[in-house]
Amino acid sequence: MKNFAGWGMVLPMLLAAWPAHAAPVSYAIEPLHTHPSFEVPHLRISLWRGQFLKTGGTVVLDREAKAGSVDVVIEAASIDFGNPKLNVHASSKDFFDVAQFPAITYKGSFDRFQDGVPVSVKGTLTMVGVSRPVDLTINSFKCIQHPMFKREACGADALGSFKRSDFGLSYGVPVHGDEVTVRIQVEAVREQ
Amino acid sequence: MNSGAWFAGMMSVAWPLAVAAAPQTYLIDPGHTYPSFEAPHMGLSWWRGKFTRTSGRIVLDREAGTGTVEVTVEIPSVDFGHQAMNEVILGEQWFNAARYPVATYRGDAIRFENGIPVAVDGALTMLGVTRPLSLSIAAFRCRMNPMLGREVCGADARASFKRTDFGMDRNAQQHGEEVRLQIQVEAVRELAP
Repeated sequence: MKNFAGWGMVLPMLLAAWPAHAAPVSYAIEPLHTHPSFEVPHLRISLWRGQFLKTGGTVVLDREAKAGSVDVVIEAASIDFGNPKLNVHASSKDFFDVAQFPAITYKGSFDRFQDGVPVSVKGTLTMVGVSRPVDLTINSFKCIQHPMFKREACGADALGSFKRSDFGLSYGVPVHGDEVTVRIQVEAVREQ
Repeated sequence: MNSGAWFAGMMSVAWPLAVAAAPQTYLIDPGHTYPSFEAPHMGLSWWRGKFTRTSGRIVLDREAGTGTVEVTVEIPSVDFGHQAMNEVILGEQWFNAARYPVATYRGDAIRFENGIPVAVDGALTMLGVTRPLSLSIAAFRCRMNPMLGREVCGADARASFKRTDFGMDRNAQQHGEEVRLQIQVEAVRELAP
């Protein structure tokens, strides 16, 4: 009886930590640990840095099939440069026009795997109503049994770049630079 | 001035990029100067944040190829974009901001290559602990700012350190101790007295 109770504890933990999932597994993006950050040139003499504070979505990963998808929604009005005036300007019609385009979306699929983990994403970014292909490089990817959620959680850091003018976000180009670099913190918790 | 006129002005100014003959002092512009940082979270992801209040001065002698940097960062201005996290990090077990409200950087020697600053050798003081820290300068450019009628220089500086070297040991094993800095800085030339 004692042994049985012991296995009752251990078995779910073993299953949760099972390395190769035989089927697609869904992970819900954890908004408190998911922040798309960006760098954008100011007068071509320095780089503004900022991030979006509200991001949600789902990641599906099938490690055996080396496949999966990424579906992310970012609240455009949550843009934060750490500078309130700039936040207001970035949300205005000059830039994101958040009243008309409240959501930024990214839909993609895992492209390449290395040592069993995804290392790149091919996808489409939609901002201010314009969709363009944007690929991401995954610089780190790791899953653990999360001590607080008591479930598997995966984290990654992704890197990408694009020209903002490709989306019609051309305000200030070319006095201010066009090239945007994104660095994305993401954590996602396995759905039950 | 509307922004269109401002941009037009910016484009039309032909700033003489003559080398200044003496040390010039530049005041850091807090509205365009933000030390950003990256720090690991549970080995899973990288937190990113910035300090929103920074001040200081930079002295450059481009002819001599020398210069110094003095920067003060207000610790309570930390911004992860996550209020609960901001409060935790200012607490006693992390920055202990009540006791150590500022971090300072003193760059005693700016290194030049081909007339352009490329690195700073100096020391960072945080939590009352001073350790040597060198910054690499990834970009440096000066231009005339027609709104101010003065030269403004901008740069992007990078550095990394272990937070445990400054006594910030909290959860270092669980999270990781490496901190990377990416610093936006703009500084406006002071008028001769």
